Amino acid sequence: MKYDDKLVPILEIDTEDNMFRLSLEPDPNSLIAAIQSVGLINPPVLRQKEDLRYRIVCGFRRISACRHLGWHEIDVRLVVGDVSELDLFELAILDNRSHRAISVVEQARGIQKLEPYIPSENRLETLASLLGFPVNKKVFQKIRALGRLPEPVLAEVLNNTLSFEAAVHLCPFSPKEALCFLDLFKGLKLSQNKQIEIITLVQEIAMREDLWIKKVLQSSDIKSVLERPDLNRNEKGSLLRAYLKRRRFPALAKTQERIVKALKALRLNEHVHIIPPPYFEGGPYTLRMTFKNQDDFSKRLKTLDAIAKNPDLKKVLEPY
Amino acid sequence: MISRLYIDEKVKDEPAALTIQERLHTIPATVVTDASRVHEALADSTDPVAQGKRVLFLTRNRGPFLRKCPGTRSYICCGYHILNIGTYCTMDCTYCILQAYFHPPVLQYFVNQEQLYNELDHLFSLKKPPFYRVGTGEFTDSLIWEPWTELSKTLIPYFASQDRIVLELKTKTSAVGNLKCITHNKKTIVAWSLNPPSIIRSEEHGTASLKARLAAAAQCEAWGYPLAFHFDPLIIYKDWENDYRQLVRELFATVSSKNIVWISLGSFRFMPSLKQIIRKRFPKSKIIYGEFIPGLDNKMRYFKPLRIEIYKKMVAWIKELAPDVVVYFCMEDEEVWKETMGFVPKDRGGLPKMLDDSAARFR
Ligand code: SF4
Repeated sequence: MKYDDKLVPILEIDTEDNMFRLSLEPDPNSLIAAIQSVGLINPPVLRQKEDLRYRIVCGFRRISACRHLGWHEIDVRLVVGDVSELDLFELAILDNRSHRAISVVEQARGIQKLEPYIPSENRLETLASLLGFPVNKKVFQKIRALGRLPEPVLAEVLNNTLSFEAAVHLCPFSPKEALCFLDLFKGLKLSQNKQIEIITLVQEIAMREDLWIKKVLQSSDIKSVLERPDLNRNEKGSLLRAYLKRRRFPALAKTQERIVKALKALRLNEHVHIIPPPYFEGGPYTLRMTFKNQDDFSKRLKTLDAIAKNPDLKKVLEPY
Repeated sequence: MISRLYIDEKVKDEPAALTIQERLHTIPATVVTDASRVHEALADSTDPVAQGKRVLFLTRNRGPFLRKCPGTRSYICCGYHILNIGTYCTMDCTYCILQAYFHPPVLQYFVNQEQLYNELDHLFSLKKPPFYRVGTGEFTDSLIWEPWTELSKTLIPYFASQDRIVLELKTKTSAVGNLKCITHNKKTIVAWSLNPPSIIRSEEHGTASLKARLAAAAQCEAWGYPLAFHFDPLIIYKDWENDYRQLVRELFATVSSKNIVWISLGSFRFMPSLKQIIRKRFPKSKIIYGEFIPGLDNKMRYFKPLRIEIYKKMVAWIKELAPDVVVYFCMEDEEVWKETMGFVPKDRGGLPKMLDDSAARFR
């Protein structure tokens, strides 16, 4: 590739042209101080467009920092001669990868931008080697899907508010819906699995009840959980999940509540536990009993005898 | 409709392969040395599950044609035997388990039929067990193959030649034309899976309408065939009570309960992997959003009280109009039987015996 080193007026650089930008909106703050003290060591790479303005290939953050510093002109390396767009993309990616690992968001955007240039037969391998992700179709599809999400959602993937897998689960939703989920997750502290669980529950409730996602997320029950000042973000998350499960599985929830009541009525103590079969589908009930010595053992047997005579036992064993 | 025909090199000269090729002569055909060529062709498609319905692969059955329905120990099994004539289906029901069962799913028809009839001869020659129920509709729809194979014209008389084993042809089509004027000796039961018209419209794509299925059933009844019906899968949705009640009425307004060998009830259940497929292929379908829990066989099933409720009502509606007809559950446990029917099959010699006895009545 051939370059002309040049001094270019900043105003002639089209900073709105994001063709080669992979990262989210550049945050120049970290560079401003450095450029102020030592100057611009590594000049950005530009390409002149047909309208004679300049398109940024590498150096979005550097140019943004220089603008913030009030510079009018900037030293650049101008790509000249016959160079394909794909070559310029490769240059932009390699420039990024030369000084840091590129993020999953950048990989997603890279896939989105590069796909049309790469023949389908070796697309996966080429993109994986360029963008630095494993040659695996499933991984590829997940990262590619991220490219559909709005920028604020992607930004929260980078901030770890939203896990990568949860973000992938948001891909089938409209940008507005994805943003609604994001608002919810910002107010909670949830592991990846819990985020996915909430996304799934909300989506299924919306399908079951013929509602928009937004309507489910903005329901008064959810609001009241989120607005409780006495709960921390963890507790709010647990309460919200419990509410969504009850709404998604109403008959099961009712049975579970009945069983909890019936078990309470049996007055079990911490040494004797009755565990119903999963989902009450059939299969055996489990009785768990702990004891330290023979005396304890006899006491537990008395407790068991009392349970056996308690009419509430029937309610536990015949839950519906 | 079939858009591509593949023929396994090893069976290309089998009579059934030649007949089918002749009947499908307008469709491009390729002889392949192994199945992977067919699978590769499907893998490139954006929806291989749908594409597999348009590609017919004529091949041989490497295993036995006859096998016992796998069932499971956790639920009561009916002791059915499968006659594996081919796999997959040209219709496209949202809930079809075959979408997730075969990898990749492809229409395969087994043309090494000499082996099929040898196995039947062997079965017919056995003295034990005294009765046997065999069906072709487990891995496919029994009658979709008729236009190209006319299999029923051979299979039905074959079963008619003996007295101990019944063949059940289970379908959602109305393709019964080939069943006319065939000696069946009541040893072939023609069976339909039924659902209300709204479910047929939204979930049973490409199948015959309820009207057409019932008309075909009435036609088979007129030709003297015993009939069976499967309310399977029963689906719980907003109007299910009205719709299923009406469906039961329509059934008995069309055919006589005297000619019904059995009616089965089975609520919608599915392998967990099917959920993603349905989500992707039928994003508007709501059937996977019922209250499903993992069953003892690891399939997702409606939470038991919901199953019991729909079964109780179905049984009551059926018994109101056909008190003597044999109704049974497909893969349910003793608790469900007891709650809905008031007895468990083992009180009556077991489910296989109940069904065998019912089939044996038709002579
Ligand atoms: S008719 Fe039966 S085999 Fe065919 S798609 Fe429907 S469920 Fe599957």
